[in-house]
Amino acid sequence: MAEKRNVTNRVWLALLVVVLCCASLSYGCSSQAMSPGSSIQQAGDKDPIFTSCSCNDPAGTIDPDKDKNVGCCACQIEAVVNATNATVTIGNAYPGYKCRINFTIQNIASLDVNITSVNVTAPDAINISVGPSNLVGTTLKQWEEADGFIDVHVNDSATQSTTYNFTVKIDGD
Amino acid sequence: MKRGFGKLGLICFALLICLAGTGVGYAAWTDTLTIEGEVNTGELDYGFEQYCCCCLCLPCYCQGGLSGLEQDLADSLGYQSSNELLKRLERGKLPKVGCGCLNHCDIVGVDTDGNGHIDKLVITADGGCCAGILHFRAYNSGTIPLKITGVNWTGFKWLCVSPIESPVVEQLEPGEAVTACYLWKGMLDDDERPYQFEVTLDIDYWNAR
Repeated sequence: MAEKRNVTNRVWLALLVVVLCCASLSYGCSSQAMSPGSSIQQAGDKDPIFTSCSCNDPAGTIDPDKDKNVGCCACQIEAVVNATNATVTIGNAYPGYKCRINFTIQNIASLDVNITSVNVTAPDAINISVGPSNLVGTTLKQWEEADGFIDVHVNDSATQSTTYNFTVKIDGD
Repeated sequence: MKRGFGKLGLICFALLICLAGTGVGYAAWTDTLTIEGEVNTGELDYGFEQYCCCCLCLPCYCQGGLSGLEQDLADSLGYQSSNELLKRLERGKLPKVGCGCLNHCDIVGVDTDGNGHIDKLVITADGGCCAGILHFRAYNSGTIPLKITGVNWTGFKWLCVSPIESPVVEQLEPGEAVTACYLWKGMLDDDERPYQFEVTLDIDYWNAR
């Protein structure tokens, strides 16, 4: 009798472990699939994503603060599945060229996300500044959004026919 | 009879707590938003085209400096304007003066950076070719608007030059060209051997200050 009860206990415990394990994993692994800018999002997704990204000098327009259409800039959220990456491409730039990339971050997680830091890596020939100044420290509740921008300025030390790469990393916690 | 979880129950409970913690930890994963940027700079370059030179029979010294050079030419050729001179050059008619100049000059275009555009003119003139006319067109072979800030004359220091039509411009769009025409005059002895000089342009971004 006691042995039978012991077995029953083990079975229940094992079942409980399996159920909790599944619940735990499903909480963590909820789907992130969404298109950039989409408002259809699922509760339980983790962390912030980019919902929009644009540049103020698209192809075919006069360069900012200039009187000619020479350079151009484009921004694209990299993947539908993982909207945590965006790509900026600036073409035919020259010393003195500048443009602004505007982006929007949204928290799709059920937990609050605090933007803790912004780290920029860029060569000397390119000046990068990220704003607004209060972006770091912003706390986003679920579905809340924050707008930010990146100002790119090509310095006089930039040489012709050259590719320069920069990276902006925005950490949330 | 033993009641409660027992040893197995404790192990399972600990396991349960660990798994729950893992799940919560995974859910609260700190992720990073990344923006990768690529800045491609354009090309700033120029090229020469339609270049030619011809000798003029003028005294082999810069009499009266550069201003005198133009006057010498005007007096010798009787041209009223640079346009008239250019028209003759375009028609392949070399200016001739009364002394019957038999000397000549050669002009060679050099692509110094190997990008398919002539960016240096090398002019070789006979010793008796004390003066001449250099005609060329300079075009923007790059992708960025440029300005031509000056013309460099190198290789022969005893040279006076004066523009009939200067290529110095503030803005030259990619593919656009500007015409130039110069008078040069070498300060030579009568038995001077052939001499050579080179012509290049100083350019900068159109928005440079």
